[in-house]
Amino acid sequence: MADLLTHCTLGYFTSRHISFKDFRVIYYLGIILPDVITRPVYILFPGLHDYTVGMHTPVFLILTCLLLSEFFNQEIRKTVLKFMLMGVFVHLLLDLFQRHFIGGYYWLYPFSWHTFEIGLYWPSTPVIMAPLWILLIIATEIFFRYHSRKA
Amino acid sequence: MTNKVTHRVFRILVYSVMLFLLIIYGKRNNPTITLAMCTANPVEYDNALLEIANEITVKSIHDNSIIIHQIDQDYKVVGIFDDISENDFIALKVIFHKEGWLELLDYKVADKRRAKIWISVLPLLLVIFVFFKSYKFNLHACSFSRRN
Repeated sequence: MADLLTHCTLGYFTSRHISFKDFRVIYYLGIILPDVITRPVYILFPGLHDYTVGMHTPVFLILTCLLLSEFFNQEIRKTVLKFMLMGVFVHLLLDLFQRHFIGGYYWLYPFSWHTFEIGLYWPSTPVIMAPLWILLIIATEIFFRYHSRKA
Repeated sequence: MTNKVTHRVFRILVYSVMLFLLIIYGKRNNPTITLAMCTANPVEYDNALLEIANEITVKSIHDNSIIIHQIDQDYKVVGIFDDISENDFIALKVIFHKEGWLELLDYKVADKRRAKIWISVLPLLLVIFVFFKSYKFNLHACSFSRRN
């Protein structure tokens, strides 16, 4: 997986449209969700790794988003679900381009244990780019705030 | 309880059960052979090909082998390793031998793994902070709503 900073950076640039204005944080929740429900579990409790193999998968994450959206006010529930699912989708899309030495993600779980990937970058590659991501975000924020003040 | 609340509770239960079943199914049917399985049944898994990466660290380095550590267990991996240090996270392709040692086929050091974990913490905290700044939890309704 890419680190969460890289995922959130992609989330930042894919949520610039005004339609994200009120639910951007829900979109970010979706972006971090796949890793938040799995990584802490097997990093802190490596013996539980086998229980997490099916969790970083589209079917599991769709169900998780459905469950989590039930804990939002009925008026915004569908919108929350929509933005959360979009965030999850963007996260998984970035992970699809990652390269694994062994294993990979089970995209078709539970229907298949087959893994596949596009494999453009190693997991450590985005980590090296972290300072660049932060600079890009800061520069973009300054640019848009300066222009909105001018307008 | 109103119909809407009943339906909501029902949906929460259904989703929760489905998620639980998916977790159990993954644990029971994962085709990956693990070191724990080999250690529990060494004869059955003699000469089995393993691909392992779950929280494996290099404990010590010797002339033609290393000792790796995974989940309270140490294992000897025989092979030639270049550019490797103690406490590195490592992924391995090995053959398990019933005597309990591993024969190296290929390996990769999980470069910058610790840095990756740490730089993931900040955006996580930020998202959680902004979320709770934007939404409040209503205990009575058991749901989040947007703050004004």
